[in-house]
Amino acid sequence: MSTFTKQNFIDMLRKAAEVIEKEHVALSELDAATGDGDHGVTINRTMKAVDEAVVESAALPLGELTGAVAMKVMMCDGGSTSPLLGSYFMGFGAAAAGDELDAEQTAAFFEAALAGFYDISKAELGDKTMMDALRPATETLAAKLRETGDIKASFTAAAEAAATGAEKTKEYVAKFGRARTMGERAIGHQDAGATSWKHIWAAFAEAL
Amino acid sequence: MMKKFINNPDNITAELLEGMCMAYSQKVTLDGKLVCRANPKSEDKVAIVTLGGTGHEPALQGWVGDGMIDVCAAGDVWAAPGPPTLLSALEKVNRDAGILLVTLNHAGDVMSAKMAKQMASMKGIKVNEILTTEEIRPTEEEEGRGLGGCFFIYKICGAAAEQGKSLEEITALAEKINSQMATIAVLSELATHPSTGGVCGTLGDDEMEICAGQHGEGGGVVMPMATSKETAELLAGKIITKLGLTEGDEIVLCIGGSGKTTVMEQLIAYRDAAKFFESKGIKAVRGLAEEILTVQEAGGYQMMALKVDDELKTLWDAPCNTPYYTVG
Repeated sequence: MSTFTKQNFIDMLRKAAEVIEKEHVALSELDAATGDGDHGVTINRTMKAVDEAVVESAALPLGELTGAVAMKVMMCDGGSTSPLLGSYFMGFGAAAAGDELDAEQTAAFFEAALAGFYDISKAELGDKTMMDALRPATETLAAKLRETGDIKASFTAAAEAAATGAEKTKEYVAKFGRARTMGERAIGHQDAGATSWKHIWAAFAEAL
Repeated sequence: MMKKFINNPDNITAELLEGMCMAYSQKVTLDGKLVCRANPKSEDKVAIVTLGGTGHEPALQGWVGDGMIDVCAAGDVWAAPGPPTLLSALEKVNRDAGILLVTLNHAGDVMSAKMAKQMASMKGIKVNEILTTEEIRPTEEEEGRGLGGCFFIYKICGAAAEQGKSLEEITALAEKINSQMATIAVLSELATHPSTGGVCGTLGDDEMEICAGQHGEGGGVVMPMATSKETAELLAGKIITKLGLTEGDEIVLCIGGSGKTTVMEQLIAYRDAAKFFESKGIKAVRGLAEEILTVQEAGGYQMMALKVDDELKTLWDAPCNTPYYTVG
């Protein structure tokens, strides 16, 4: 496929919400090792809000839809997840060129969301955060889209990059969040936030 | 198995806020996720706004009221509110005199505050922020989190705001307090997360952890369980070093139980700490031994100290009237 539509975007987010609903207990358990054990609760609540927002606002143009999702996500009051995912969805809005995007526009759309996320997160690769899955996934997506123009194949490659990135967080000491103070003791534990993004990107690929 | 008197785990925050505003309806009122003063102060005075997760009662909502916080934006259990909730708090007390926003140094609070301040600035709302970082960490290179020491800022800056001090004066006062206070936590038993029932962290039966922070996230120094005196002296010694206290200095000393540690133990800890400070020529001129910032059934306490001068002492003694702290 060579066109990415607003309906693809909605389907992807709905699938992601469905997958997170299945995984949220395991995500909280993962978080208990290095955080306060509620990441699954928060990301599940947040993705439910995403799901509700895309259903409610399905008729809006893509740029307004992403803004509606951002607002609903931030209203979840879910600690750092609220501003992080809020700025991710606001980022999409900056590059929503229309309701149908070609490969280059799709790459720019997801890159803009990552830029929004980075603006508030400031986390770099290796800091043991969501960024460790989100950034390689987005960069792989954009590179594959520009190289092949194949949207489905590019999302599949991106999902693999997210999974690899999440796995690698086991090797890292945390620089942000509640795991920050654990030092070397965080090594061996996979970051719950990065793991959520692994599931989300897997759902993105599956939904197409 | 978790034995807590709750209803639906999803409604914990909403129900506890409702309960607080019903029990203390003369002092506080609820507007969505905002706990507000029942008797708002006049608009020519600086407003004090703060944000934070719940499940730490009486912190932070319990200190909304005359002479302390004007509006507290609540998130969810141990989770910061999102930017729109905090923005609505800032909009609610928007005034020419300005707003002091007190943010405790935790990732979610810091990010929400940053976004809310950007949004407030676009709306022309005048906000100065103080980020509290008073926690003592095992090494000096690590930045401290904001623990119960925020109480000093709410109390003292709240009193200064009542007296009609300007936003610039109150911000300078908050910065002074942040640089002259220190908090160190000791953990003896782990908390459970009330929404998931999960136990936070690991700690042996015969162990305690100092520099433990608030949520059982680890990262402190684990050592064998010790007596009150041994523990209090260890913590007090670290406060003396951090603040560079010397003979003749005066402090406000607070022992705030984390939830499971009893008032009896808090009082013994206060005695032991105050006597240790006294032995170094440092006088605890005011004090508290009561729950300040709890973490469900976590055992242990936070020891908080603020180095005071006459100005800070006078403001500490000024009247206030909130659900969980009242003077005069």
